[in-house]
Amino acid sequence: MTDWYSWLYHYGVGGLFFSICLALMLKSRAIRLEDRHHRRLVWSMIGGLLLFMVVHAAWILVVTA
Amino acid sequence: MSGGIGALDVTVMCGYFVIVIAVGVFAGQFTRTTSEYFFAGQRFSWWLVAVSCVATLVGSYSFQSYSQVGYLYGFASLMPYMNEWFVLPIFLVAWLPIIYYSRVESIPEYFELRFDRRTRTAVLIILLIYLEVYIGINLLTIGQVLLGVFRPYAPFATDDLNILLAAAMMALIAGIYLHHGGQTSVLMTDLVQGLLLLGVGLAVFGFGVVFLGGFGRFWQGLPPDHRVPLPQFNRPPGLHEAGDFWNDAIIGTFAFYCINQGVLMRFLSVKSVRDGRKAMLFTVLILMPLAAISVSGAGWIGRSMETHGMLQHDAATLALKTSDAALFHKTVADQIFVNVARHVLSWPGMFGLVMAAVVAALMSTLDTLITAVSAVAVNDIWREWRPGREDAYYLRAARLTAIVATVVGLGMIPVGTHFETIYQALSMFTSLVIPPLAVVIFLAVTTHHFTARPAFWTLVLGSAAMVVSLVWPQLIRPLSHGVDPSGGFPYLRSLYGLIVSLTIAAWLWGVDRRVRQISKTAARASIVGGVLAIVGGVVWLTVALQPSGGSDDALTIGSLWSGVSAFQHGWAIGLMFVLGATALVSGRIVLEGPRTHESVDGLVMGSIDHARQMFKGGKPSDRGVGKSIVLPLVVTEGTSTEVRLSSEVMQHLEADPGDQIYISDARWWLGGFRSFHAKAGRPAETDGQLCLSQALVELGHLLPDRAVRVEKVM
Repeated sequence: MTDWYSWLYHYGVGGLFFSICLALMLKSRAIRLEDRHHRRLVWSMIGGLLLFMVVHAAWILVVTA
Repeated sequence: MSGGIGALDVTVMCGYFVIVIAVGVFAGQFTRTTSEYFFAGQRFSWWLVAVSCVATLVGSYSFQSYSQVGYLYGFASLMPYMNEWFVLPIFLVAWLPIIYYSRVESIPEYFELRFDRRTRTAVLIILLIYLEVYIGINLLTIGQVLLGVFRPYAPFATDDLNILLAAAMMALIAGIYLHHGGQTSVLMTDLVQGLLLLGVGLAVFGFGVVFLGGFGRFWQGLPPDHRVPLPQFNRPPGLHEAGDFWNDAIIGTFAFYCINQGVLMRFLSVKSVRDGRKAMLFTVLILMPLAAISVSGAGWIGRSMETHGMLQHDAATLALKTSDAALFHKTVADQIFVNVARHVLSWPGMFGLVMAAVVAALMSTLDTLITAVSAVAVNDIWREWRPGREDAYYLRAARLTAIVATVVGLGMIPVGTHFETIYQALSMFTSLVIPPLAVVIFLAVTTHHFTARPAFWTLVLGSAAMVVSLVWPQLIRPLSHGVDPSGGFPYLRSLYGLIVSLTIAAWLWGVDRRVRQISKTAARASIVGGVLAIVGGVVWLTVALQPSGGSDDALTIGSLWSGVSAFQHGWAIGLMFVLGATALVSGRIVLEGPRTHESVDGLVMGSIDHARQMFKGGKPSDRGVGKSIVLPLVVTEGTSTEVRLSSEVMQHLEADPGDQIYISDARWWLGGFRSFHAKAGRPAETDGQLCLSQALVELGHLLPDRAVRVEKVM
């Protein structure tokens, strides 16, 4: 379990910071989801973060299995 | 090849330096104005900026320091290059477009537009300190690397003098092309260097695996705790997740992309914000993971080789193996990149190429930083001190400042020599300087309501709090996460800085007189916020000054819930609530804040459309953005600056008169080297050709016999 503390902290606290930033941007209309370019940008950022999150989780699983 | 460097290696290195200087000087021919000197005319493609940016990212201390980290801690060395995601929204959605569209030429200039002159001055001082020490650390790295290779030929008896000499020589080489071309030269040389250093780093890792006898054997040679991709939560003191997250993922990323003027200038040299975003995403998603392997690989290979007894050491180092294992590994780590490269790439001339790539990569960061200091000095000091002069005067000033910046950087070298690793030196320094500025930038771009007075005092008091924490590191104890306190919490200082600066900002914001005048409710809220902040401060000091009962030695996450540490962390968590309440109460005033939006329109993320409108000089149109067409070029007489396209082409691009278009040489691999921006004029009968005046052709460095690509930007 100790191998997962870092992962949980990293993506837990980091994910919270990321989400707050995105929420602020949506609220201020700096990001408008009806705009195709903005939509693509948001999905690129979320997708990238999730990709790294999954890769690191899989890596830890392989090492600790 | 087991000894020093051979004649062929030296020849390869010299040859490479000649190529880099030639590319830089050639690119420099295209620089005529200060705008081109600093921002390369805002015309380059995303891929060129992305690759050259990696040379800047990687080039600094990376091969040396991340190989050290890779050797000492394993795959955890990947993290500093793979944790940009959390700050990415701020950069891509707010900071980049605001800076790009507002046409500011330096970060301090933004602060005068957004706040006031004294805030600009405060930022200027912080930024110059940051850049100059960063230059010093880079020069120190160059000196250390070269000394490791050329030690038998070192002219002085002491290492310090030899390092200084080597650093000065490299600074001279970078200075030659920098003096000529500024940002354009930096971009083009960094493109070459970025590709080479990625290739060489990956080659060292790849050939290292082969040298070891395959991936399985490489893997077996790594200690089990070196195989996980993240650092352990709160140990060892040299690298741990709690510190790495706050110091590198949050503050380090903020520093590099939002505060490092050199990197920002690189992103401002792209042809559009859209290309800047593409460059950043490509960098973070593809290039950074590759770069992480490239710079760390030698360390992992070295550790595995050490386990298998395949690494050769001199007698003094070998003697340490039995007497002091920790010192032995530290000594091996210091030169691990050079040592591994010597072992695995032992063909004649190959080691010279590796060393050329490493040193040239180091130079690529150096040139970016020197250009950055130059830009800041010219825009924020020279232009203010000697306003209204001709552009050529400021261009001369920029070149002169570049020399001064280098000399001052050489004087900063001793700052980095006191640390165990260069990574620690840079981390410590970043965590000390950046947090107050990061908080102010965050609030400046996210809300209209953050005003000049709290911004200025957050910078001043936040910086003071950081210096105080250097003298009394026990102030950071409430946030220790169970980390060994003996090292003074160099990484967690970032978290301390963020919380203290955020609290100062929130409280000052709350008591700002102009805000208090809005309503009684707001005034009461600010008083409540102030009381809570004082309570928080008392709690903080209670925890920080509590005598250590030795429980800090229990370096596991479990220590958060047991013994004295539980008491400490309980207080710390309570403190968080108090600070959070302070921020919330102060934040409540935001809802009733001053209505002075017009003065900062375009400088905060909620009004980027306004910035776009100012940038374009008319209402922006996103219809058909990115569409392009290739046309033959016809050069006409005259000096007209209008670009007139046929109705069919305008229709294809979905462009209207007044839209901003981008015209470039049709060969994509030039990356916008020959290009310019213009406004579309009224449609004209041009028979499927693009007719441009001689003046515009010269402006874009276009070739008359080459087709051009026309693209709608905005």
